[in-house]
Amino acid sequence: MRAGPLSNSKVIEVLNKYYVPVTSSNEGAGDLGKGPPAEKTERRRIYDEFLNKKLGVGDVHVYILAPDGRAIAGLDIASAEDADKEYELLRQVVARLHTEPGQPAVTPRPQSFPPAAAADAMIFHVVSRHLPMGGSWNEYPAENWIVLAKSDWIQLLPPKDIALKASWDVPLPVAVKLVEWIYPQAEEVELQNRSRVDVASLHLAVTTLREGVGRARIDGRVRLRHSFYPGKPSEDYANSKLLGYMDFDVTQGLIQRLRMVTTEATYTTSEFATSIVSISRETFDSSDH
Amino acid sequence: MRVSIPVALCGAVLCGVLIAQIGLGEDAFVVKVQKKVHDLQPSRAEKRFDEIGWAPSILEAEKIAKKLNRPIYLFTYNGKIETGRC
Repeated sequence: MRAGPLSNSKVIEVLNKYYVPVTSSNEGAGDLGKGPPAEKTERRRIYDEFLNKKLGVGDVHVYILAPDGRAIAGLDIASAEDADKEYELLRQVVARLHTEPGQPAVTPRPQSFPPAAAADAMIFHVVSRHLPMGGSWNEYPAENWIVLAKSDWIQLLPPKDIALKASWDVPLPVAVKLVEWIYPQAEEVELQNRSRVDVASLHLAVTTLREGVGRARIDGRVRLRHSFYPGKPSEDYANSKLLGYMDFDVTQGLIQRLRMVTTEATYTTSEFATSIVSISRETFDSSDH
Repeated sequence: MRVSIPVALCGAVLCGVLIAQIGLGEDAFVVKVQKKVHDLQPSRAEKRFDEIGWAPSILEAEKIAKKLNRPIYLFTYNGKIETGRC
């Protein structure tokens, strides 16, 4: 849906001009979801009303409600994925209701944004793509946000008396937190990572050191087991080699930036690529979270 | 002003290249990493979903719908559509 009708110009325009669009994950507001009870109750009411009116229901489904919340139309997922069919239904509904066009009911904003974090935490953005892109589970990259508390990120730094060409390894627990999302898009229903990390090696070596400011090259290796479907354990492995760098201030004990990418990466039999980028405090403060 | 993370990241990546060249020297591996980071970021076409003004919840959507006299489009799904981990 996201890469299909919800990326279609006509559908986007009609949703923004005439509707109040909202998404609802089954893991959040479904019957067994972990979301707010009031949201779950309302979603159940909607489901029951569509069921009673024989308008169609489904876990993955489009429900159209009147401005007063009544059930008025719906689309099963197969029909909803057809952008033309979806557009036609959306147009028919607003024509029937004589809905006046206007500005988007809610200002559009990035839907993937960093979580709230302590002022001294470091935040990293992960982007992971199958290669080549395209096809099912492969239409757009997966994203994650990693938050490292100061007690964690400080372990990435070298000792204050570091010298040029000196090297060190990141302690395993911190390395695992940085690399456990290095796999391409798969089915996920929880925020918690469910990978079993077998290898998480991050080796840093100082390449530049000038007046207390340094750069370390990062060479790494990751092997993790991540079954494609949650709840269906299988021996699906992601193997990656990593290259990156970290700029740091030895005197102040700060990481200025960290960038890592995969140079070779396979998940089962297919290739993928991942980047991990630290987000500056300025970028974090200027984003939605 | 609110900025999207990909836009901010592109800026940060370019800034990082400049810093790499000016401050700590132009290392070939840094340039290689920066380019790959840049190439992997979600494109505008892959982020068209963000062009839709999504309400934060069903209950909030219902309040807005009543106020604006607009119908509600509710899409239910599995996983995390906003991050592609679904």
